[in-house]
Amino acid sequence: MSATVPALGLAAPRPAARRRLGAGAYALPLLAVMLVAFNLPILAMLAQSFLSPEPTVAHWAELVQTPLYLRVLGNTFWLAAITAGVCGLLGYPLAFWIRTLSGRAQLVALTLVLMPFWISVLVRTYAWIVVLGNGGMVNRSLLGLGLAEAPVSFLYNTLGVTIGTTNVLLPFLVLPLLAAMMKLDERLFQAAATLGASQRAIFWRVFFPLTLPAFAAGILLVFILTLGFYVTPAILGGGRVPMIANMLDVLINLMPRWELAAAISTLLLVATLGLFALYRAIGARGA
Amino acid sequence: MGDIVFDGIEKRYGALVAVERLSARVEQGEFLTILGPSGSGKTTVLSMVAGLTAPSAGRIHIAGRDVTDLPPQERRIGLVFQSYALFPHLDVFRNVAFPLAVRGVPREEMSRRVAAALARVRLTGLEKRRPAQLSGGQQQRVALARALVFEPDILLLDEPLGALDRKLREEVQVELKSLQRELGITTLLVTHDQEEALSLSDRLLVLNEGAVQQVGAPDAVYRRPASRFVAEFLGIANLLQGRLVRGGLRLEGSEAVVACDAAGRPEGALATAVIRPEQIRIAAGPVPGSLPAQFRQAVYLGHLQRWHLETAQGLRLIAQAGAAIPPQPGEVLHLAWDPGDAWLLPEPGLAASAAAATRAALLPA
Ligand SMILES: Nc1ncnc2c1ncn2[C@@H]1O[C@H](COP(=O)(O)OP(=O)(O)O)[C@@H](O)[C@H]1O
Ligand SMILES: [Mg+2]
Repeated sequence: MSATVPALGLAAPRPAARRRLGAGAYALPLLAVMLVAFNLPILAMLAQSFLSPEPTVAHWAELVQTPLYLRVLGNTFWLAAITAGVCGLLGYPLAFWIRTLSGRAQLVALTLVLMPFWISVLVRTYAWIVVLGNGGMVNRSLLGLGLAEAPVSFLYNTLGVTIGTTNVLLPFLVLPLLAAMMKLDERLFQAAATLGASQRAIFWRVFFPLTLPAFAAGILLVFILTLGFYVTPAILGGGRVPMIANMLDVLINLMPRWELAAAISTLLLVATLGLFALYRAIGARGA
Repeated sequence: MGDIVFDGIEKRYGALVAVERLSARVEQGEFLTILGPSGSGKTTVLSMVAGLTAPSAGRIHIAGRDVTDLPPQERRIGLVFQSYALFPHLDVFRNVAFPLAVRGVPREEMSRRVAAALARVRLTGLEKRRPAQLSGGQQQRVALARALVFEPDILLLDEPLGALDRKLREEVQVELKSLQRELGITTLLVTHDQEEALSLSDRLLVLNEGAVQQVGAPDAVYRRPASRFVAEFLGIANLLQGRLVRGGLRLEGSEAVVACDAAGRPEGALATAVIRPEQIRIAAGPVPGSLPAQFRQAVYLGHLQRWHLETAQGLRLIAQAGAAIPPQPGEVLHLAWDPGDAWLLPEPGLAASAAAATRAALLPA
């Protein structure tokens, strides 16, 4: 008896371990392709910031010492923060409202939220010019109604870019948030009501805290995605709201300063990975 | 503290009648159980008391207040959901403190009352745990503490033991009952589990398809069921149909006359007798009023066994046997019982008047 117990104890984990390895093995060729065709070139490119033309930190020093680069970096993060904030302020009430709709109306509302996904970013961005430009629908209406003396500048400034990024990114916040809201057990709110909580107390003490992880994760996701925006700031910012991606375009295509672009990209990648880790941590806490 | 009065409440979902004109009263300090199969309308009754579902008709009074139009917040009820519905983002302390926090109870008093509630359900020391870190039994006790900490007028329990394993269930039953007695709180429990209903309640209300079948003390409902449904839903019932003759009941399609007390019913009348397995004795041979039946099979349950038997007419019976050694299958046994143990179901004509009498007795004064 005493001999069989340890033997069993040792033998037990083996089949499980082999199975796990076996399943993973099928993905190995794919992983190799990804690594060689995708990740290595990127790493090689990023490494330029340290290795071109020989091992050096000069490019990083230049990056840190040039106020313009830092300003663009700061501007990008600032715009990402504004977009994330606006998406949060619009997205939470929107998801909350969609949750209360009946089945059919919910489908219609979801379709409307998802619509931006089905239209090319380029088309959508140009559409904003038609709507918000100086001779656009909104300004003509404002002037026609006498609500404004001169055309309001919606575009070619931070406001215009924020409108564009928010429009593109709102679904990324609303969809997971709505999913989290729908998953909540209705009985929790009934229980809170029988325990004497007012509607307001139910919202702030039960509903909101339970949706907070999904909400925070959504805001962070929007923030991360805004960092990489190129088309929207290029068109709606009219070149006056430079973001990292636009600056990289200039550094690579006009200057060309690949090493500097590599340094900035590395910085962006590290920041994004850090934020992504935070996003995962928040998501895991909510699950 | 107070009583609950149902005054003709009803709930319809379109054409479906979930609860049909229910009139009943749960006395101050009483433990009443609504017992019925799944879908019989139990949860609907409970959520109407809690104010989570509005009745289609009728009024509900709690502790002398008409609460029919009050929201759940103002009904002063403690409700324990079948799923417990603990707040997953709050620890045990804050779950139990919730009803006090929303009432603005000062911090010090809150700590004291939460500590007392947790001590009462023996959860002291687990204040910092999240619900997900508790066993089913512990979660159930947190839900109970949370429902009682703000001293509600009444306690409502929806299948509170359903999610617990068998052994734990009996333990919790005993605790729940003694806690209820100690607090003297009027309690309404709903369940489909007859053992739970029989062991916990002062009185039972049997519900089927939204309609009240019978109301009474567990013992009375078990021994003197008002209908076939009640007889079969509570425990195991051997139902024998026949006509009353002198000295017993002549079974349908048979010459056998079995023992029963005609209780003043005329000879020749149709009747159905209910005999519980534990009332059946195995006689050594044929005796007056005994019923011969072939032994089929024994079901061994540890503390007792059930013998499954079949008469020549194909009528199946179940008898309870202690530690006796089962006979060979096919062997004929003679089943006997005291005439007084064979309960005659009220016949349809009589049943209607009995039901009317029950209803009259239930109507609030
Ligand atoms: N919201 C609802 N809409 C329609 N029918 C319902 C609703 N709630 C309950 N019912 C129906 O009412 C009946 C009683 O339900 P319920 O009270 O949940 O039964 P129980 O708790 O006894 O299992 C069932 O037939 C159920 O399908
Ligand atoms: Mg139910």
